Amino acid sequence: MLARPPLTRRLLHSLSNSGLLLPIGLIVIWQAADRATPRFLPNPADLIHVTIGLSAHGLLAQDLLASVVRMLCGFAAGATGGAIIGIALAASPRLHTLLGPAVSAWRQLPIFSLVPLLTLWFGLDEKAKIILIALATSIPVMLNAYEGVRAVPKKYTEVADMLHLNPLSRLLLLQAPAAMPFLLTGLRQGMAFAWMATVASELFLAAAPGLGAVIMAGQERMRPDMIIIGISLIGGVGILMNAALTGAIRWVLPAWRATDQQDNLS
Amino acid sequence: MIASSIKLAPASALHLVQGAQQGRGQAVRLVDVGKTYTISGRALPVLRDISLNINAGRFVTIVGASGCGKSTILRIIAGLEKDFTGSVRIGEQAVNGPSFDCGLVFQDHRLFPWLTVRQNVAMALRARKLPTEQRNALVSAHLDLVRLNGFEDAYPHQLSGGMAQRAAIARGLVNEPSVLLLDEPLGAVDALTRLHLQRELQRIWMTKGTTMIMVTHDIEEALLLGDQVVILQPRPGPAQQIIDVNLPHPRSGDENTLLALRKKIFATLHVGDEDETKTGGGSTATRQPP
Ligand SMILES: Nc1ncnc2c1ncn2[C@@H]1O[C@H](COP(=O)(O)OP(=O)(O)O)[C@@H](O)[C@H]1O
Ligand SMILES: [Mg+2]
Repeated sequence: MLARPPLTRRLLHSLSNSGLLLPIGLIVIWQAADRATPRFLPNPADLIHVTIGLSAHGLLAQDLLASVVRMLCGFAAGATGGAIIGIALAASPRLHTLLGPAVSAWRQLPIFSLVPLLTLWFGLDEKAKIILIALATSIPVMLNAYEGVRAVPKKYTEVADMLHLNPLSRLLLLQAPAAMPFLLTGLRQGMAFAWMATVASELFLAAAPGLGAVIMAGQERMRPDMIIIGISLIGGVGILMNAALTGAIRWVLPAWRATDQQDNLS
Repeated sequence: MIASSIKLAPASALHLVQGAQQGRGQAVRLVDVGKTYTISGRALPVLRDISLNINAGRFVTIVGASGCGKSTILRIIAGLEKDFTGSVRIGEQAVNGPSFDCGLVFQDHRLFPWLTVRQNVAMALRARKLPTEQRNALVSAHLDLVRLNGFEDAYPHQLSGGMAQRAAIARGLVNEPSVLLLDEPLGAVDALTRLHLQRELQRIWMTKGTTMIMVTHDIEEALLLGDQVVILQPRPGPAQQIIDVNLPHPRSGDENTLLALRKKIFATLHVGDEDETKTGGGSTATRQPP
């Protein structure tokens, strides 16, 4: 009994170490403090209760799935397009002089200002949403891909020069792999943008299943509990997807990392 | 006496291949070459008045203290430096960019970290339209040559410094340029493998007739391999000195002529070197007493 601190102390310690102390503490205080105002702020126990109720009908799951699928479609399209444009701009000086100014104007444009135009052109349905998500994704992916190719170390481009690599070989063997760490950073930012645009598109562009729609429905029916459940799910999905992508990057990058370290030593 | 234990291939076989040495290489001529770098607005003259006349198929070695511009000369011949004075020709062609005729093994290995050893070497053959089979065979043969069998599928960060340098040598040799520039290619290679590679370089050079220009910090190596040894000295010494090594190849390294020349070079470097800082760099060989 001498060496072991009491169970509660150890529990507290591990909670604070994992960074969970604050959120869990807040929830506990929230639940305890809640008395008379369920209308504006439901307590955690009620929320769990409602979540179970909604899930039972499969509604929440349907919304969740709709949002994630929507996001992945837009993300895939936007990331592919952004990567291609970014690499092409960096690799071809001619393309750069032609499109460079337009691209730097484009990146300054707040993406959601396009919503009315997209609505006029594509209506309120799925197409407009996915286009918005793809556009939002494409910008950070494009910028990072561009930076990555521009940042290819001179010592490697000199090797490519000496070996007379043609533009395609140069792209495949040098520029694309050298840009990979940048590209992955771009993908991570792009995914955050994509998720943001998904929710925004669901809020702006009318009714179809989705987590944004859950929030909207909560507002219309004066149900703060639904809104909070919607927000929590959006946050949770965002965190999970970022973690998945970060994991994938850790898995892909070791070869690059190892070289950087070697270079720093020499 | 690094080179004294070299085992020579049977003389008869080498005479046979010597017959094949027929000017596949090209002459390299430098006339009054000078180069000035600019470091934060200040001019830093590195080379001046370098004139070299290297006949086709010769083996020329360049020695000198570190920082005296050896790598810069190779980079100029390779066409990587656009901004220099004087003229450089490979064969009849004035150099104004990297050319198919000229290969360079960089001082740092510069393998692409995302490609395996085999892919790094095969990359050198991309520009030549070869059937896949022939390409694979060439790559394997050159990886055997630098003793990297078993490491074909390793990535550069999994190799030691010497192994990476050997892979870079294979990449430089594999597309058989008519002029091959080697920038301290054996610097990080262990002593035993170095003996092997020195012998292989002699053999390849004799077989293919390539013009080879090799920078080394090892004076014995320079004498073992070079028909001519170019001694570069930092300013304000004489721009360059050339020592002819009139000995047939292959050499073992312990010929009396080489020993005498070695003394001569040490003496030369010593005379030019009252000031310690000039030998201060990485050059161990020049610090030995004459
Ligand atoms: N890109 C560069 N910019 C400025 N100075 C350089 C550059 N490359 C080399 N130098 C300088 O030129 C000199 C000669 O360099 P280098 O040819 O690499 O010497 P060596 O190969 O004989 O050791 C050194 O003093 C070095 O600092
Ligand atoms: Mg050098």
